[in-house]
Amino acid sequence: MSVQAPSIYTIEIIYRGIHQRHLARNLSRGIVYAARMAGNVALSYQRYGDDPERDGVPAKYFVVVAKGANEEILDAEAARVEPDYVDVSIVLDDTILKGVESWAWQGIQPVHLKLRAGGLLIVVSKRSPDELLKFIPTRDSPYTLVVVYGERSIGDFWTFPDDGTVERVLGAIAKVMPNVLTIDDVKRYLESLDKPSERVNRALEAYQSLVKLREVKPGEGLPYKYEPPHLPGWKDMMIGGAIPGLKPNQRNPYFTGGTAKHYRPVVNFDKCIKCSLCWEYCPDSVFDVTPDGYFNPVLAYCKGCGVCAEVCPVPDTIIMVDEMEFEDGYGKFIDEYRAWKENREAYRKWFESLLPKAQIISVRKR
Amino acid sequence: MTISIKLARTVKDLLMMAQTEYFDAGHRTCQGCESAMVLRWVAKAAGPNTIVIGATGCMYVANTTYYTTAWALPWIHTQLSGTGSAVVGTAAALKALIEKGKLPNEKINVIGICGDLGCADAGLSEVSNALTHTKYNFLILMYDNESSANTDIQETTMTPYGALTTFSPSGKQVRIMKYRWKKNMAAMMAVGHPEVRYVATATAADPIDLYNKVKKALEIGGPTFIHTLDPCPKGWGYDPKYSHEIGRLAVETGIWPLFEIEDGKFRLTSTSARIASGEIKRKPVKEYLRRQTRFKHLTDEDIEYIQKKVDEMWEKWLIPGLIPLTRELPYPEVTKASTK
Amino acid sequence: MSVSALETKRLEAVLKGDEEVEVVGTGTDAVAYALMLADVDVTSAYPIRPYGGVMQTVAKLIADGYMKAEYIVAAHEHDQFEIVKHASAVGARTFVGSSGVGWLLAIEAIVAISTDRYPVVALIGNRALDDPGAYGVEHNDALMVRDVGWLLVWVDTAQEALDTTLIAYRVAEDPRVMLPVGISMDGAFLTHSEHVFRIPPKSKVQKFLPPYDLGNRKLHPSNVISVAPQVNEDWVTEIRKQMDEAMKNARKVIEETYRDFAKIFGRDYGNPFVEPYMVEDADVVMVGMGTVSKPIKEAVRRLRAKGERVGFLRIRWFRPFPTEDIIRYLSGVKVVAVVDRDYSFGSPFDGGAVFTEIRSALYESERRPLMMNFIGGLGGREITYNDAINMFNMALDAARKGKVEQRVIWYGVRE
Repeated sequence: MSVQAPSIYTIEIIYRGIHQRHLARNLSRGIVYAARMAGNVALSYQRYGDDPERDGVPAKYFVVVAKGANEEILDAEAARVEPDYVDVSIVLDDTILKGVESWAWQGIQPVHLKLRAGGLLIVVSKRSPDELLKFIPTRDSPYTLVVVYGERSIGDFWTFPDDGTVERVLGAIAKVMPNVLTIDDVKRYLESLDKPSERVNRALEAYQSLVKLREVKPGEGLPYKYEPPHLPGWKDMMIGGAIPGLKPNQRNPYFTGGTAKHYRPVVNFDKCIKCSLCWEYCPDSVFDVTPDGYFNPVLAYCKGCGVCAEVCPVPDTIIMVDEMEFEDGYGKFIDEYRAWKENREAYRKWFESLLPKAQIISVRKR
Repeated sequence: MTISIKLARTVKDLLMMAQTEYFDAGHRTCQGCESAMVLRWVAKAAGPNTIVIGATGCMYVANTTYYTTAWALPWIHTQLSGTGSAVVGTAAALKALIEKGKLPNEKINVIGICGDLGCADAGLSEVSNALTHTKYNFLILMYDNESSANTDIQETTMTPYGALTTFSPSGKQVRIMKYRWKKNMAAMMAVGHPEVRYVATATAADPIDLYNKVKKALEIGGPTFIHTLDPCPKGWGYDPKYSHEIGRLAVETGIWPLFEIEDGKFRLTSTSARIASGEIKRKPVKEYLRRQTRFKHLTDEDIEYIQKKVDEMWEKWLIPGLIPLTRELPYPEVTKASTK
Repeated sequence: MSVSALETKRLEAVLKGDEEVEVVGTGTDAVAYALMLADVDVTSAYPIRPYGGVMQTVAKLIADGYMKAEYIVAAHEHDQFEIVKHASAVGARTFVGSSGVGWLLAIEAIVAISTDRYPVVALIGNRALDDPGAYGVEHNDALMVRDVGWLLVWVDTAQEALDTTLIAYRVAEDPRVMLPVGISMDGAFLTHSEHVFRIPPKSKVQKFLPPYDLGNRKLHPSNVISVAPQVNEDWVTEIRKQMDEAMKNARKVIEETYRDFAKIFGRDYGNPFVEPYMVEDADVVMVGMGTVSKPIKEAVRRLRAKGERVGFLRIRWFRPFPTEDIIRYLSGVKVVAVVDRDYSFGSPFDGGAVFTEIRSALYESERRPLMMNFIGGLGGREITYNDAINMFNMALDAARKGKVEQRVIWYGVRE
C-alpha cells in the first residue's frame, strides 16, 4: 500500500430503523467477517440509543477495522456509545441525507457529522452525486461523495430482502477503500456464504461499474449549520426527572420525528372534500386544520407512514412522494397549504408533476 | 344508567368536538404507530383536567425522551407492573386532598396506560386489585400490540396463537413456538370485577368508537377498563401505511370483537354489532393473517385452526367475544325435576 | 395492638389539647400515633409480620375517626409502594412499610420513590429474609436499600419511634432533601413489646411539621409536567448527582430538625446521628443499631462497676452515614467491636455491613482502633447482657494484647 494510512478505520452505517435493520446488521457483520478472513481484526456495534429501533427512524451501526494488528488495538474502540469520528459513512437510504434525528435535544444532525476531513460518504442511491449534493449540508472540510447505484432496500422486522445491497456496498468499499477491504477480501467472504457466485457477481458489478465519486469542497452543498445542543447541568435540571410539559396543541419543540420519512404526503387541495379522515387517522397529529376547513400536513413532524394517503377516500388527493423529490428539509419544509393558497395554478402543475412519481397506494381505490 | 355526555356519531363530530391535541406530535414512535393513535384519542376524549400515568413499555420509551415530552397533560411514569397501583394512589390522593381542603374540589380524570406485558402479564394483580377499589375514579387503558414491542418484539400472553416473536421464532424443529391462545383480558376484567361499571374493547381503527368509550368510562366513574388492539407495523410486519387497514380487518374478520359492558349490560358496538346482526358478513381470518409477516410461516391448516376458533367465539360462546362457555343452562336434570 | 377504650380518651386529649399524654403501646402503635399527628393523607397496607401491627392500629384510628386518610389494602408490597409513590406525586403525605422479603418484593418501587424524589416515609419492621421463613429480627432487609437514595434510621424505643416518625417527615419533605426515609424497628423486640411512651399534642406537631409542598413538581392539571421520561446516557449522571447532593444536604437538615424538635417538644436527643453511651475514656467501644443497645448498655454499666473502661455507640442514622461522628467517638479507642444483626457475605472482611462501613469510615482517622465484629442475634435470636459482657471481655482481651486474633466472630453459632 502506498498511502500512509492510520491503522484503524471506522465505518459508520446509517440506516432506517426496522426497514433496514437486517441489512445494516448483515453489512456490518459482513465487513467484520471479510476483514477477519483477510487476517485483520474488526468489531461492530449498534448505537445503543437507537435500539429499540422504530420504523423509519434513522439509526447507526459502527464497524472498526484494524489492519494487520492484534486484538488489543481494538480495546479503545470497544465499549463505546459512538466513535469520535469515522473514516467513512455509509448511508443505506438516500433520504437519510436529509438528516438524522434520533434523540431529543440532539437536534437534526447532518449525515456527515462524524465524518473525518477527507473521509468518504457512501450513499446507496439511483441519483448522481451532483443531484445528491443538493440534499447534503455544507462542511468546513472536504470529503468524497460516493454513490453506489441501487434501489432502496426495504424489509421489515421478520424479513430481509436479500436483494444484493450488502454485496454492492461491499464491492463499493473495495473500490474506494481498498486499504480496508480489497475486492479479493470481499470475494473470499462472499464465497463462504450460500449462493456464492450470485453474491460475488453483484459485488463485482458494483466494483466495476456502479460506483461514482465526487470530490466535495468545503462550502459545497445545502446551507445548514448544525447547532449541537447545550445540555443543562445538574443544578439547572428539575429534580426527580421532572420536566415541563407541553401546552395544548403545541408540538414538541425539541423533537420532531420528521427525519423518519422516506415518503411524504402531498395534498391536492383542489380535490379535497374536507372529510377529515387524514386528520383523524394521523398517529403523529401532523395535520393542521386551516381556517377554511382543509388539512395541512406539517411536514417537519410527519414520519411518512402513508396512513393518510391510504384512508383518503378520493383517489390521488393525498399522494406519497419520495423525499428526494423535494429540496427541503433540516427543519424547514414546504407549507403545502400556503403554497396552494398563494398560487393555485402553480400548485396544480407542481402536484401533477409529482403524480407520476407517487407511491402506488392500495390498488382497490385505483 | 343513561349517559348525559355528548357522544360522537360521525368523523365530523370528532373534528368538532376534539380538535385540541393533548398528546401531540414529536414522539419517537414508529411510522404508522396505532398505539400513538390510541393515546392521541384517549387524550382528546379526556381533555385537560386529566392526569396520565404511563407504565414502562413502547408508549413510555417512545413518547417521552427526557427533557422533552409529547404530553400536554400532567404525565408520570410508573413501573412496568405499576399501573393499577399508580391509578389507585393518584385517585386516592386526589380524594384525600380534596376532602381535606388541600386541593380545590374539581373532577380530575386519572388514566393509567399500560401495554399488554405491563397489564396482562406483569401487572395483572395490581390491575385486578385496582378494579376492586370502587370508591376511586380512574380508567385503566391497556394498549395491546400483542408483544413486548419496546424490547424487541417478545412473546406475551397476549401474543396471538402462532405469531412470530423473538421469543417464539419459527425453526426447522419447531414451527409454532407460540402455542398458547391469547388471554381474554377485557372479559376477565369485566366478569371478575362485577362492581366495575364500564369495561370495553376498542381499536384506533375506529376512533369514533374509541373516543366514545373513553368518554363513557370517564363519565361513569369508579374503576373502568378499556382494552385496545393496536396494530404494530414493527412487530407485526407490514408496511406502516396499512396500520389503519389491519386494525379494521381485525374487527371485520371477527378476531377482535368491539364491545362494551356498561353497568352489567353487554353490547357489541360498531362493526362488531353489524356482524352480529347479520348486516355485514365476517371476513375470513386469512385476509387479516396473510397481511402480516409475523404469520408468514403459518400453513393453511394453521389458518383453518384459527378460523375455527374464531368461528366458535362467534357461534358457540355464551356471549360472543366475552364468555367462552357454551350454553348448557338450564341443567336438563333440574328442568325435568321441576316440571314434575 | 389496637386502641383500647382507655386510650381513646388520651387520644382525644392530644388531638384537642396542648399537653402530652402517656400511653402504653407497642413500637408500631407509637408510629401509628405519629401518623395520626402528622395528618398522613394516603397509606397503603399489606400484611406481613412484624410491620403489620402499625397498619392495624392505623386502620382502627381511621375507623374511629381519630385519623383521616385514604387507607388502601394493596395486592402485594410492590403494589403498596407504587400506590404511595403516586399519591406522593400528587401532593399527598404518605406512609408505607413492610418487613423482610415483603420489603424486597417492593424493591423496584422503592428505588423509583427515591429516584423520583418523593418524600415517602416507610417503616421497616426488621425481619430475617426467607428462605426458610423466619420472622425474627435481622437488619438485612433494610440494608438492601442502603445504596439507592433512601435515608435510613434505626430506633430503639417506642418513644424514639414516634418522635423519629415526625422528624422523618420533616427531613424528607425539606426542599433541600426530598428523599424518602426508612425507619427501622427491630421485629418483635420493639414492634411487638409494650412500652410506655408519650404522645405529643397535635397542636405542637403542626408547629413542627409544615404542610407537604412539592412545589413545581406537583402533578396536577394546573401544573403540566412530565415526570421521569426515558433518559439516555446524556442525563443519568446528572440525575444521580442531584440525589447525591440531597443526601449530603440531609445531614444538615437532620441536625436542624432535631434542634427544632427539642425546642418544640422538649425532648432532646443530643447528637441526632449516634447515641454515645459512656464512650469518653473508654478502651473498648461496642457499636450497634436498634434494640441491641438495651443489653449492651446493661453490660456497660456492670463492667464499668467493675472498673472496666467500656462504652457503647448506637448508630441512629445509617444513611446518611455519620462518618464524622464515627471518627470523633471511635478514633483512639483501643478496640471497636461492632455487633451486626446482619451479614454481608463475601464483604471485604467477611463480616457485617455495619462493621464494613465503620471500618471504611475509620480509614480517615489518624488513630485507627483495632476492630472486631460480632455477627449475632440473627433471625431474632436474643442477645442478653451476659452475651454482651462476653463480647466485651473478648474485646478487652484484644485491647490488653494489642491485637485481634479473630476479626469476625459468629457469636453463639453452634459448632
